[in-house]
Amino acid sequence: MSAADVRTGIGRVVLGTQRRAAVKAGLVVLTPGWLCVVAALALSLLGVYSIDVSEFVGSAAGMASGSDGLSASAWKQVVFLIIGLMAATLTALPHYRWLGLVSWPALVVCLGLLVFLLVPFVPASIVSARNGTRGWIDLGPVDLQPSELTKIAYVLVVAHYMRYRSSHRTIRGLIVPGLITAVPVGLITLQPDLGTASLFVPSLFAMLVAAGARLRHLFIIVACAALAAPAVYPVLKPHQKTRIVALMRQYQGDTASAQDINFQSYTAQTLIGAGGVAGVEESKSRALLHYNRLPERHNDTVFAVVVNRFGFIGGVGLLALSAVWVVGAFATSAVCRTPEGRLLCVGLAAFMAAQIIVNVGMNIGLVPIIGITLPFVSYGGSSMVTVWIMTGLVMNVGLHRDMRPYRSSFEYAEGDDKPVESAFGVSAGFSGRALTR
Amino acid sequence: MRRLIRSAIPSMFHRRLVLQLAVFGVAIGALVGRLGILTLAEGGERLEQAESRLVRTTWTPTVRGRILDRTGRILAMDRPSYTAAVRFDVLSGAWAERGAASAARRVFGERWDAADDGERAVMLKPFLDRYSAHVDRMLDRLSEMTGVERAVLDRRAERTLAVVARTKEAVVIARENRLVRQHLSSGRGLSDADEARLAEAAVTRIAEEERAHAMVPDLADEAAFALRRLETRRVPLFTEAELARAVGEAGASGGAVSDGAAEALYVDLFPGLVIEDSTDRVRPFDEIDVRIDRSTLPGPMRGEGYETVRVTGVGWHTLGTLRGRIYGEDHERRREAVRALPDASSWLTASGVDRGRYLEGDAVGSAGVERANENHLRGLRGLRRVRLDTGTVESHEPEAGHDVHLTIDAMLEARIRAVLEPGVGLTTVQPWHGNDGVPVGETLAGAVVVIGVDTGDVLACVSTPVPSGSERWSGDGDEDYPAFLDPTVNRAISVPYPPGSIVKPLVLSAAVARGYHRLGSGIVCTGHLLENRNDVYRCWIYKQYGATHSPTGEPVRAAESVKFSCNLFYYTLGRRLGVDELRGIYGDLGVGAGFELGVAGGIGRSWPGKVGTVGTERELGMSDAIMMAMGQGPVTWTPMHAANSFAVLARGGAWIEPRIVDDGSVPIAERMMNLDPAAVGESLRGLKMAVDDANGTGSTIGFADGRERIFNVPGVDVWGKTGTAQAPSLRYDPDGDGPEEARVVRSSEHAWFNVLAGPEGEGPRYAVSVLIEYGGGGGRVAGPVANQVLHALSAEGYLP
Repeated sequence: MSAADVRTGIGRVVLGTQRRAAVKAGLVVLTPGWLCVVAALALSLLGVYSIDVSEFVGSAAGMASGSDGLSASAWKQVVFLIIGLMAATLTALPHYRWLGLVSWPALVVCLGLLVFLLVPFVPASIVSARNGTRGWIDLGPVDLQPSELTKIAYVLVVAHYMRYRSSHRTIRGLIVPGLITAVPVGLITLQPDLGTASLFVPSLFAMLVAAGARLRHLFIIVACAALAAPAVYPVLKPHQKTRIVALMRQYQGDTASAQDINFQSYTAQTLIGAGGVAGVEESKSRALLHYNRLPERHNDTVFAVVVNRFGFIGGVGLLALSAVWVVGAFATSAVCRTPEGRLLCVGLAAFMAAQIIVNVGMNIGLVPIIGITLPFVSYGGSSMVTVWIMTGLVMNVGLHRDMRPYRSSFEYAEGDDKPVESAFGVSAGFSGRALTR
Repeated sequence: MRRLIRSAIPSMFHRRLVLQLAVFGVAIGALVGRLGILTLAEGGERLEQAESRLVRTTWTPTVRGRILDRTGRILAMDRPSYTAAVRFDVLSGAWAERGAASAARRVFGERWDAADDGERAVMLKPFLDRYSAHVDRMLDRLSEMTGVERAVLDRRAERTLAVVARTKEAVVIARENRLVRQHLSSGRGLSDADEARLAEAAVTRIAEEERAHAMVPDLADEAAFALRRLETRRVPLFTEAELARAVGEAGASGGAVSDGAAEALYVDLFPGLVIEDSTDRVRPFDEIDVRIDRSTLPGPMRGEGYETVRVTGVGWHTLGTLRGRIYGEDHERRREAVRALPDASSWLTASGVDRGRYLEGDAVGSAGVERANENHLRGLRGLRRVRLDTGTVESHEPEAGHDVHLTIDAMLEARIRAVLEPGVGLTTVQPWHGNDGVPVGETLAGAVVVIGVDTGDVLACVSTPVPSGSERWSGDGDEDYPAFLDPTVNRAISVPYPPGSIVKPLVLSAAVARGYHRLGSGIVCTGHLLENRNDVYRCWIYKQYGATHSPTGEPVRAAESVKFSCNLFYYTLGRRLGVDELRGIYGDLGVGAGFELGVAGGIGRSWPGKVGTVGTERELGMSDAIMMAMGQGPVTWTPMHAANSFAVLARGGAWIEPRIVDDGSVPIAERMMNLDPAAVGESLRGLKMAVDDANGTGSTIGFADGRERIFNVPGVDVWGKTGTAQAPSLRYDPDGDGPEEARVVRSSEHAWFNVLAGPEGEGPRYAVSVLIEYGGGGGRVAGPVANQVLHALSAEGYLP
C-alpha cells in the first residue's frame, strides 16, 4: 500500500465525506512522531523479553537450558502491547482538535473514577487495596487503573485550556492550571499513589514553561515548595517516611538497612551492578534475579532486570530509546504550529520523561522507592495502553497538518504583557494581537 | 550570550523546548553516571554479592571436643538436647503491640484509619491487654510443661531484655561514631542538627532483636516433643462475645465489628516459641559428694568418722565457661587463626569457607581451657553447598572437635575443693587462727596448687570461692559479689600476692650459687638489722617475743635459717645481693613471665608476677632488696609461681614449665636455674626440719589445750615452709557511693604454706602451695589446709 493510499485511507476514516484532496493536504506522513513509535516498539519488545527473564523457570536444570517459550506474564504483556498499538492507532486518527473538545468531559469521567476508588463501601471485589493502594477497578478479565487515563485527560485539558491564553504569564494566571492539577493529584495521593501523583507537577511545569510562563514565577513556586517540604514530612504516612529515611541511610552508606527498609533499592542496585559492562547470560540472569528475590522485578524494578541482563550497555540503550521517545515528542511539538498541539506533545513528553527519570532513579538509588512503572517496559495493561495512547497522541499531532494560525503560538517579546487597546478591546501579548479570552 | 541564543533561536517557544531538553539531558546524564558507578566501578563487588545468593548452604552441626582429666574422666562433653527459645519481640512486648494494632485495624476498619492517636489508644487497649495476657499465659504454660519455675523464666526474660538493650546501646554508639567520622572525613562541619540526624540514623535493629532467646536450655525430650507439637497450633484470641465486649470497652459499639472478625483473630498458642536443636555442655563433676576424715582435722575441729561435703563447680576456674553470644572479636580471632595456624587449611572448603566459623547460636569458649583451646575443641561443621543455577554440589561431613586432656586430677581437685568449703571450717576464720583483722566466722578466699615434681604437671589448680549460681557455666550469672570474695577470679594463677617467707629457701640456694653467701658461714640474728634502730627490719621472733635466733651469739646457719625462717638472715642476704641480683633470681622463678598453661584468656589468664612497684615505677633501692630477699617489698607472684618454685627446688634447679593441658609431649627440663646443689640440699634439710622439729615454724599449732603437729599423714615425708606475707588493708564500699564510707574488711596477712611431699624415704614427689587470703599466720591457717591436701593426695593414691 502506497503512502498516498494510506493517507487516503486515514483521511476517509477521519473525515468521511471530505474531499480526498483536503484530506491529503491535512496529513503529514514524515513526522518526528515516528521516532516515538519506533522507540516505543523497541522498548515494548525489550519489556516483553525482560518480563520473561524476570520469571523463574523453576529448576536449576531449567535455568541452565533457558526457557523454550515466553512466560505467561510475557505473553500477557504481548497482548497488552497489541491492545496498546490498537489504542494508539485509534488515538492517532481523529484530529486532536476534536480530542481537545472532549478533554473536559474525559477528565470529569476520570476524576469520577478516582473518587469512586476512594468510596469506602465499594465492594472489595471491585476495588481492593494492592500494596496498600486503592488504585485499580476490577473489571473482570482486566483491571483498570484510572490514574493512568487521568494523565492523558489531564494533559489534553491543560493544553486545551492554555492554548489561546497568555494569563499564565502572570502569577495569578497560574492559579487555574494549578487547580486543574491539584484535583487529580489530590485524589491520586489519597489512594495513596504518590508515584503517579508526583508526575503531574513536572508535566504542568513543562507545559507552562513551553507556553511562555515567566521562569521567575516558576522558580518562586519551586523555592516555596522546597521550603515548605519539611513541613509536609510529619503528615506523611509511615511507609512514606520509611522510604525517605531509607534513602537518607543509603546516601550515608548505611548497608545495615539493606535487609529491611532498603531491601528493594539495595537489591536492585546489586543486580544492576552485577550486570557489569555487557550483562550476564540469560540463564544466570534469571537465577540471580530469582534468588536475590528482587521485589516487583517484572514491574517497578524491571530496569534492574534489563541492566542485569544487558549491563551498562543495555541500561544506556534503554535510556537512549527513552530519550528518543521524549525527543520525538519534543520535535513533534517543535514542528507543530498550533498551540494545543504544541502543549499536548510537551505535556506528554514531560510525563514520560519524569516517569523514566523517577523509575530509573529509584532503581539506581537516587530517589526513594515509589510505585511507578518504567514506560513500555514494565508489566501492566493500564500502563502499557496509556503510554501507547500517549504515543498515538504525539503521532496525532505529528500527522495532522494545521493551517498556520494567524499568529505564532506562545511567542512573547519585551513589552508584550502591557495592556493594549485594539479593535478587539484591551488585551495583552503581541502588542494586542493575542486573543483576549 | 542571551542575545546569541535569541538570534540563533528566534522563537521563544523553541528556546524553551531546548531548555527543557537540556534539563532532560542533564537528568539522563546523571542517571547514566550513577549507572556507570554501579556497573563499571562496583560491578565486580556487586556481582559477587548477587552470586552469593545463588549458593544454598546447609550446615550440619558438629560436636565440641571433650575435656578430660589426667585419668580419662570426662570433665566436659557435648550432649544433644533441645532448647526452648522465645522470640525477642514477644519478650519485649512488641509482638503484642503489633498484633493488637493489627487486630484493632481489622475490627474497626475505616474508623481506625480515620482515628487520631488518642482515639486509637482507646480502641487499642482491650486488644493490647488481651495480647499481653496471652503472652503471660504462654509463659505459664511453658513453665508448667518444662518444670522451670515461672519466676526463673521471668528473670531470664528480664536478663535477655537487659542484655539486648546493652548490646544495642553499644552497637548504636559504635554506629553513631562511625557516621560522625564519615561525616567529618567529608570535610563538613558537625552542627547540632547534623549530630541529631546522625544519632537518629544510628538507631537500627540489631540481630539480637530478630531472633529467639533461650528460656529453657537442656529441655527434657518429652517436654521438647510436646512443645514441638504445639509450636504451630493457633487459637482464637477472642470468642464473639469477648470481642463484642472488648469493642464495647473501646467505646465503639454499634455494629462496628464485622461478622466473623473474631474467627479472624487467631494467634499462636505459644507465640514466638522455637524449640531449637542444641547441644548441652555436660560437666559430670559439676556437683559431687566428697568425704572428709574429720579425725585428721586440727584439734578444735576434729571429730569422729567422715563428713560428706557436697562440692559444686569442680574445675570451674580451669575449665572456663562458654557463652552463647558471638562477638566481633570472636570472628576476628577465628579469622586470625585461619590465617596463622599451619593446619587451618583443612578447616576450609574448596570455596574457602571456614567450616568452623561462628554462626548465630554457637557457643564460644569465654574463659579458661574452653577459651584457650577454642579452635582445637570446636570442630568443623558438615556442609552441603548447592549452586542453584548450575546444580553443582559441594559436600563435607562434620568433624567432631578434638578432645583436650588435662593434667588435672578431677577427684583430687574435688577433695581439695571440699577441704576449702567454708562449711568444713578451714577457710573460715577460727578463734585459734589469731586473726585480728578479720572477724571470726568470716569466709576466706584462697587457692591451692599441686604440681608433680618429675613432670611439671599441675595435678590441681583450685581457687575458692566458686560461683554458686546454677548458671555458672554460661557466664550469665547475675549474682553480685564483694570484690574480696569474687568467685570468678582464679586466685591460683590470676591474682598477685607478696611471696612472703616461702621464698627464703630459693633465695638462699640462689645466693650461694651467685657467691653472696658461703654455706659454711652463718649470720648472727640480732633481732633487728640496723644497729641503732630496733623498730625496722626486725626478725619476726624479735617483733613478737623480743628474742633472737642467736640467743647464745651462735650464728644462724643455712638450714636453720629456713627452719626458723630467720628474717635477719635474709635481710643480710638481701643487702648482699642487691636489687639486680634479686631481680634475676625472681626472674629465674618465672616472675614477670607467667606460664603457658593453656588456660589463657579471660578469668583464667596467668598473672605474670612482677618485680617493681605498682603504679609509680620508682627506682628500687637497697631497702627494697632487703625486703625482697624475705619475700616482701616490691615483688608479687601467684600460688602457681610458688608451687613451681618448690618443684624447681626439689629438682635441684631444673626448670620444667608447669602445664595444665597435656598435649602428649614428654616434659623436659628447659633450663637449669642457677642454684647451688649443696645449698639446695641445705634448704631441703631446713624445710624438713621446719615441719619435723618441734621448734620449726611449720611443725605445730598451739591451741588453748596444747600444741599438735600440723601434718599427720602417715608414711609421708614432708618438707614445708610457712609464709605470713604482709598485705595492705582492704577497704570495701558495699554501695559504691564514695570512698569515705568504705570500711576496712580485711587487714590481716596472707597465709602461705608451701610443701614438698613424697612417700617416706623416696624424696619429694609433689609440690603444694596453699594460700589463704588475709588468713593470718601461714602455719596455723594455711598449714592445716596443706595437711588436708596431702591427705587428698593420699586418698587418690599419689601418696601412701
